[in-house]
Amino acid sequence: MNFRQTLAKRYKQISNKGKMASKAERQFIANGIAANIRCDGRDLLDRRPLELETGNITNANGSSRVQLMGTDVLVGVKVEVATPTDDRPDEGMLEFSISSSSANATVAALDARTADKMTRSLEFLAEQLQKTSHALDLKKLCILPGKAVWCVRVDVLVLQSLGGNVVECVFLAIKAALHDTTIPNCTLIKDSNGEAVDFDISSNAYDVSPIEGVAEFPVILCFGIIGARVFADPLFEEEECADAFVLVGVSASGAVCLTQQVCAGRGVDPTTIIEAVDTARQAVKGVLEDTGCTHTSICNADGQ
Amino acid sequence: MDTTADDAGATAPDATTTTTTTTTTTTIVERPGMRIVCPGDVITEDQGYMRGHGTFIHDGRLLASVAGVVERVNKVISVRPVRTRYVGEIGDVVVGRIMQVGQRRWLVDTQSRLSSVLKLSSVNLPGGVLRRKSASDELTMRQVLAEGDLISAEVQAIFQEDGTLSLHTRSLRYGRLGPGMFMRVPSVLVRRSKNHFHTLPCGVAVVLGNNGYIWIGASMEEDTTQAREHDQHIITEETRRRMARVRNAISALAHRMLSIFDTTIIFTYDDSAHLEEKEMLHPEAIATITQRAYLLCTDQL
Repeated sequence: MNFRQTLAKRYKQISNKGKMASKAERQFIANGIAANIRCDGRDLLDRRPLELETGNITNANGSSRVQLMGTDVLVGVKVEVATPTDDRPDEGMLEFSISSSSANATVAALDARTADKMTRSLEFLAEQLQKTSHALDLKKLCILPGKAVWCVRVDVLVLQSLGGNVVECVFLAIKAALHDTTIPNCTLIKDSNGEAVDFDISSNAYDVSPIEGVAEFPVILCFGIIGARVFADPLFEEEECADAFVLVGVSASGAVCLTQQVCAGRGVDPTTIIEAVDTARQAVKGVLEDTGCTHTSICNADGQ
Repeated sequence: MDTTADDAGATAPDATTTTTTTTTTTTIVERPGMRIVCPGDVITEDQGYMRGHGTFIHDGRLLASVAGVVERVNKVISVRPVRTRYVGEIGDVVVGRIMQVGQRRWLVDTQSRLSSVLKLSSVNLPGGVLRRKSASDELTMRQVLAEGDLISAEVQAIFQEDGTLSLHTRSLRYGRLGPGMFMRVPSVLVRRSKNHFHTLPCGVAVVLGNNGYIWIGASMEEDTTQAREHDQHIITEETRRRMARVRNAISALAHRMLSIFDTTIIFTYDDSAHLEEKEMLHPEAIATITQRAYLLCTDQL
């Protein structure tokens, strides 16, 4: 299987919202990008202020909400005990499910199929992010090998997408929600031979620990490309007019684990892609600092 | 500029005596006699009223089914929702986007429930040529308006069966819109007024569609059709910055759910003079720059 091709095919639907923009609008936006003045007065690499809250769903183990001027993403994380698969008896599970609210689909003029494809592509990207970065050590989520592991389910709901840049919001929200997630501590019950046979989950709401390795969990930054110009944090209108997008999966330390180029018709010069990746590596620290997602969790400091 | 806004803000508490339950920090503009409800709120327990749009009867009480403003016409009580699709009225100026070129008509997205219709017979052909009904001019429709094009138009009629809007562009004011920005705001925020085409003092042209779609252009010369034909119109950096400022002013107003019309836009634009365009996106900045518009909307100015 050609991984890149599959990814490209899947991703194509993410930003492709029908490509409805008139020639005049395209020209206006392209000229603006060339002159380094975007529709809302930002420079090419400026980002819009985003609002992030965590812990807003009380009955979830972790949650977050990201709002970016018309884009609104809600994430809930649920941690459950599950039976591990036979081929990976000592690994916990991390599952992503992303859906778009039907209200959003109507407003953003997405038909059900496009919305479905878009969310499916995002799910795929989320899985690839974990697979390629190995940020979360799934072995740490194991309770009793072969018997019980923690299953971390990340549910993402795209409430609104008119502000553009859904991809970045989704992955920032996922990261924030994982930071917010706590897992109840377990005590193993041992038999007379000293072998663990059973476990006991603490019912104390404060006897919990965070997920290990979340601080290194990457986010995906999305860059639009018009001509040879790279711009960050695209607006909805700019998404419609962009020649291509470069998605860069990058962790707080600047380690790139995934890049994806999506073209809408025209090809992109390789140097432009490299520029986008470099920009992502420089920008990621600022983005995460703004959202407060760089703190190493308390658990890691304790060393367990 | 910001000092005037602050002065106005300081006098606000005296003026609030006229409003019912408003605090100055709320983004919702309440007026005397205006009631805002959320879904499930009891509007009345009185049996003498009739159920209108946005309401339902439960246990003999009249409840709201949407968030909005309570309106009463004689015995009928209805709730006008805050967030809704555009409900058109004849004579409204709208901004729309061509979705499809059909048989002798275009389908236009106007944020209403159904795509609006622009008939080939209700457009002026470029250059004011008289249309000769023939197969060839149906084939060249795409040269007049293609998919994705933005237009300004007027609501000509509303189809009785399903409420589809029929538009027309038979005036020099209407037609295809040239290079510029498009933005959308909740349609309830755009106030119906005599004129929806404005050239602001800063030289930027705006078309405020009643349907909540807004177009911001570099300029609107006297003969608009002529101006719009010039697709290669060069926009200077200065103009571009002004346009960005107008855009951010409008989105700040929309963010605070304030009425959008020429005066509020000019107020917000002027009050933002001390900020850079991109600084207007910050939530704190939005609160300061829209203060004067807020006072105007609450009749405190």
